[in-house]
Amino acid sequence: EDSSSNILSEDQNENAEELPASTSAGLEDPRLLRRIQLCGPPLAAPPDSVDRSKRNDPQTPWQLEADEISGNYLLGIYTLRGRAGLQRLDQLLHADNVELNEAEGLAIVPNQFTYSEAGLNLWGGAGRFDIHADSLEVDRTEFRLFPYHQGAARRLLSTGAEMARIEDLRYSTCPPGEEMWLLQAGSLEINYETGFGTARHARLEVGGIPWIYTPYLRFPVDDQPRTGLLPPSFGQSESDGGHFTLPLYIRLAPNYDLTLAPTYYSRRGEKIGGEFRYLRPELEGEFTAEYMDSDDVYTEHLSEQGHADPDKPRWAVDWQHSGDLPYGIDYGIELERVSDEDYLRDFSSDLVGSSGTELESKGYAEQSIGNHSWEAEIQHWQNLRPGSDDPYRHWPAIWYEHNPGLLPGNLEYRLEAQAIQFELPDEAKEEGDAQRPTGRRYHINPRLSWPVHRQAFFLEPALSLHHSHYDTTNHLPDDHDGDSPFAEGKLDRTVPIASIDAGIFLERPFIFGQRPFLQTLEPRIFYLYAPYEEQGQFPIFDTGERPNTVAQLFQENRFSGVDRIADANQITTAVTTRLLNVTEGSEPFRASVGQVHYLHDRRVTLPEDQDSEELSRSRSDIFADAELRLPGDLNLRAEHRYDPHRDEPVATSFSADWQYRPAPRTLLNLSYRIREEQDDDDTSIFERTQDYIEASGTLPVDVNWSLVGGWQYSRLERTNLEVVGGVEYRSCCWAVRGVSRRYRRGASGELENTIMLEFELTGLTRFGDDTESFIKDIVQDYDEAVF
Amino acid sequence: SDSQPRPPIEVEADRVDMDAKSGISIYQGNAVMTHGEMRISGDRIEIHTTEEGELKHLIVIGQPARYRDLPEGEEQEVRAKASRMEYYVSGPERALFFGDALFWQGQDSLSGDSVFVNLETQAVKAQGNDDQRARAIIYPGQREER
Amino acid sequence: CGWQLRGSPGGISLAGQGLYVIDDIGSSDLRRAVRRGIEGAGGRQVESRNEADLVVILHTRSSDRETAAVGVGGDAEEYRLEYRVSYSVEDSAGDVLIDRQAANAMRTFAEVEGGADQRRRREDDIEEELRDEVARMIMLRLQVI
Repeated sequence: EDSSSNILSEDQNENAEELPASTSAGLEDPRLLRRIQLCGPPLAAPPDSVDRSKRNDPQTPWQLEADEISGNYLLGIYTLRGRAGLQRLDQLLHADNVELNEAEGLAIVPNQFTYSEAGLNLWGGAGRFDIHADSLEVDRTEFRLFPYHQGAARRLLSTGAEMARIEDLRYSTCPPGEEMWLLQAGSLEINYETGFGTARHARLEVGGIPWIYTPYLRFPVDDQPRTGLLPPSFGQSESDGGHFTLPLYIRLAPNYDLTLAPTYYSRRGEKIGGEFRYLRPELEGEFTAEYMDSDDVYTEHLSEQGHADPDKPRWAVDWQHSGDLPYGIDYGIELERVSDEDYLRDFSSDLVGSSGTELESKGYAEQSIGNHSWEAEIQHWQNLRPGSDDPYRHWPAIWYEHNPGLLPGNLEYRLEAQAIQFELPDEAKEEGDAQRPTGRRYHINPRLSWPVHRQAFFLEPALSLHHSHYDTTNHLPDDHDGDSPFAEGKLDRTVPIASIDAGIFLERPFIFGQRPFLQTLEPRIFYLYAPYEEQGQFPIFDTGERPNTVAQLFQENRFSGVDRIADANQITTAVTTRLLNVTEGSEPFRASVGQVHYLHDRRVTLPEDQDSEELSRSRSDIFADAELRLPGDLNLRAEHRYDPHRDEPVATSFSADWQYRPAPRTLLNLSYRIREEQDDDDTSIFERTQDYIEASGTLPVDVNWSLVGGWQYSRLERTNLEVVGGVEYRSCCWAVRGVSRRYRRGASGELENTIMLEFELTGLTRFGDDTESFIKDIVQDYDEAVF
Repeated sequence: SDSQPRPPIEVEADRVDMDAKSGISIYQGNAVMTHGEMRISGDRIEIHTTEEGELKHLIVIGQPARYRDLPEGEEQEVRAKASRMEYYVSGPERALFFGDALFWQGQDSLSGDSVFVNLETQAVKAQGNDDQRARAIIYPGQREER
Repeated sequence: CGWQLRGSPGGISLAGQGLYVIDDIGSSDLRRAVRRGIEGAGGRQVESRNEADLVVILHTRSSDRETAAVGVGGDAEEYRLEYRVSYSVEDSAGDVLIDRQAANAMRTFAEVEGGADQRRRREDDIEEELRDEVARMIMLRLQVI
């Protein structure tokens, strides 16, 4: 029964420096490793280094120690006097005296004490600990939270893992004593669940100079790069001039918040932006809107183009909503619209945002019960390229799928059906376009197959039926002399398809670099029969060519989409070889080559290939594709389509992506892409349509300084698409980043320069443009290379 | 304190020296005293009685001296051990343990250089010295079972 | 010349083990690809956990398209489609054999003639290929546990 192990260390007044820097599992996050590099060991042990739920576990003892312990063991009331100590799992309390009520789990510390637990170190003048509720209340305290939150307060209340409330606070994430910035606040509430801290009457001091007073301040507490306080942002670009945004955050309720962000552009004028977020158990969403009464730059641009009413308001709306209804129905709304087609180019900070050719908005609902599932959507597009055709709208579209999977006798059955109303905007219909009818398309496709998959071979005979019904109307432009190539009104088509897919798997083991590999050889044969059904005049809504890969040769329909169901009497043969790394279970290399042997000429085509002589050929082009994935993140991929009749290539694409990470904070991405295709109109011309190099990366100069860069170059047009250069100085609790960007903007293609500046108080907030998310778009896996 | 009369005291040992005049009897060698649920043992038990022969107090020396009792209304025995122990029947009824003292009930324990237990109020006090501090191990989670 | 039918000694295989698939994703196509992979690797799909030697849990699936390259005119010229499935493997008692990890396949494709409608069909076709690739990756990993 003797248990007098030395629980509490003799020396009572430890401070943070002596606490061992915990090297528990929680420290793999590169962001944190980088901060340890800059700030030294964390100020407290990681909160997840212990299982908090074990604290109230009956098996977990409280270990008390003092010069004198008196009390009543039946009632569980103890008084500890003289160098008192209380320990429960990771919680360690040192004080001169402690009053302990074991039944109610209360420890009262009348005077000077130090307290530490996983995630927190604390010095206090007096304190009250509710041990059962895992909460504490401390007066005149100095605290240090994992990893680098520190400060002092008149009063601190913390309810275990949920919430901490601190009054008359001095707070910073800079090392104690070297506070480059300091936040003073009347009160601060840290909610660990939402991961946000909200301060009231906050005064921010930077470099000793009072900078900002704000009645309300919200910031992320767990170092997640989240937009807590939406910082005043400023920046500079040729088209906008200088811009300055001052956001105002309004917390309406625990799960509703509104952020208003007025922005002033020196050359464009004022814009008001707002973001309303709501979160309820059964639904959640985010509604963002921007509105500008008049944009001087755009007004001038329109009046130069002789626009009748150039001074128009400009706006953008983005609403993402999702929720669930009874009976397991999930629904969602995605609304994205802008006032004019140049809006994204003018106001989105990166190329990706501004390169969209259309914006999709849709409302959808889906449900799956057992083997049945359906999805319905109402969807339409905003076309941002006036010259090009408007994509079809689904007004609405319904898909149904029945998938009982394996039936007795190893039979497999599935059925897919769809009903879509293809619509176009009214102006497009009035203008009229013979090639673009509107109307309804129903399609149903039951499929029955007998899959036999074994290690040595596979065999899958299958019967499938495609039945389509159209009900469409044409929209001919007034000056159109003839009529539309597509028939109107009700059209029906039924095409049964029979197919047998079979293949055998050969392999041979071999050793390469003392490691076991397997090379496989997989010949495959696919017989496909489908009778010819007249459908030359059926409308084309969403059907086109299939991609140029071998796998596509084994599809039931030669076309991608159901507006054309191809006639077929053909045999596809192909062979694939793979290299398998047996130890890691990876596939460093794969290559396939395949070809179709036609036993009968084809008659179903897309309108543009009506008289193509390929239809009467006895053999298709030869397709080949290969992929090489080498260790050290080098991936090569090639696709090639070759025409044996004319003995010339039809289409080739090659891409190489390489990522090189030789040392911490060093990352280099290189990718090269070539694409060559036959010209659609004149197939004798085989031209390079894309020749593209992209490089991006980051390089440390020293502990604090690092460089980042990005470069996109089109060798075809011999021009830079985008050049980005940036530099960052990062210290323990603040950082400054500058990024300059030179890119080709819009069709006119003139080069545009923008400079972005950002000042970061690590863990609290940022001022300036959000260069971090911009750099993440430019440099792939940037946030993994932060350390 | 307890209302019914206490059961008789039995003491046994290898050797006994009784001194009726001073009322002190000394039991030496595997001395064991039982007094109802209470059981005390040690190398030497010195029993002091009143003139009427009632037990007044006793002193126990041992490697270690041991004490065991089942307080009224408790399911779990209370036990203790120390180099030297004193037990007083009244004023209040108490047990004092000196020298590497350890007092425990179930998994809960209290230890120190000396431990005093008031058997009427269940009040306890442990005192440490420089090389052995007062220490307690308690399992609040099991309070309900006790 | 050393070629032998898959499944003969020296190769890798599931060696007749029973696999129970837990599908938290709810994609029937992915389930079918995994079932074919199991049979093709010499395993058996079983309907209950206690009959199983291996329990494959399909946690999440994501299929993201993003612009990979922007042309001189400022329009997207190249898209990147990434298909990612996170999965983990346990034995029937629940001890983790492969902790949760992701198998992903990626492909870039050029802008499709015909615009958004045809591009959606092209994405579906490519996603089908990526899904079979990911299913094969998972099967390979299973056979070298």
